[in-house]
Amino acid sequence: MSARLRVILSAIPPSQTTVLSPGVQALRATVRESELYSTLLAYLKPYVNRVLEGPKRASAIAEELLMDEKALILLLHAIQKAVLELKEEDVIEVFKFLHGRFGTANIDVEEVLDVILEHEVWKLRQIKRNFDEYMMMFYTFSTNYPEEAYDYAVIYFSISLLLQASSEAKTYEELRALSEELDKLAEELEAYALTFMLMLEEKRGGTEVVATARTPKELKEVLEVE
Amino acid sequence: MSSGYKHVGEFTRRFKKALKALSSETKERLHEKIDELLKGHIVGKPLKGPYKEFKVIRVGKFRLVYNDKEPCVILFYDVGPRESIYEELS
Repeated sequence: MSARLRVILSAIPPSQTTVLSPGVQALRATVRESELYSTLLAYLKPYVNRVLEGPKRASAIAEELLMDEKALILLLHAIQKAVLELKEEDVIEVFKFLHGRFGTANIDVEEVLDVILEHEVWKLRQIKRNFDEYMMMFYTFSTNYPEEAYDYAVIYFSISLLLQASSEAKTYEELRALSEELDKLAEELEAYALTFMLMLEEKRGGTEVVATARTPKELKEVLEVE
Repeated sequence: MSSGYKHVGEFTRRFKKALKALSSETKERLHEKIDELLKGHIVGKPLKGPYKEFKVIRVGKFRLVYNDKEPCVILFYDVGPRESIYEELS
């Protein structure tokens, strides 16, 4: 399995482990592990192609993907393997590749990829080192804020499709259009990522007010600047 | 004598603790950003779910998290570096 695919698979939030129809359950049995990733890639190809043709439709296409039971069962199988196998180095390698793709076209995506990569690595670390708390946090979020959890899933799938499309783009115009859409979605992803980080850090405490600034002079004193 | 801000800035213990780890340069940039926030010149991006009343604003490679729910008060909750793994790429 390519590292790029594994990153995309790892992007799927646990909330997407939906109940599957009997037809899809049958598909599960027919997909042998050796065929899984090539099957998945082939299945996702039309989605990726459509995103490549119209990056502004990435969110709408991602919503279609979220309704596609066959895609979900393939993704569910693949994600289990990806989470076990994926290393931070693999994730970084993928982003290095993507950075190079945009870089050759002189398109600056450093900030955008930085935000997405941060989220990828943070999530991977939580799954590997802090699984119970991470899952409980995500369950709490999904239960209490189902619409936002869905929005997060759409953003995540959109970004995954855009990144995959970026690896297949052949022209400057395609890369430019993809980068613009990634830029918009990365900002939304950042808000979710920071929310999840804060939810996991709630036990840290220290939220009581210990200083106040009403004037520029007081602000300098609080921040300890000249 | 300095005139007052539009908003009163309140700072949590965790913010003050995080502040100690920042360089002088970062503190200066943070100062500029907080000064603008207290004057009401800029506004951050809202977070989600249980933190929807919080906002985040970027200060270079750092993030400033604050809450402006109370009228005329901005609570500066935390400041910290982004996990900038990207630097490892270069």
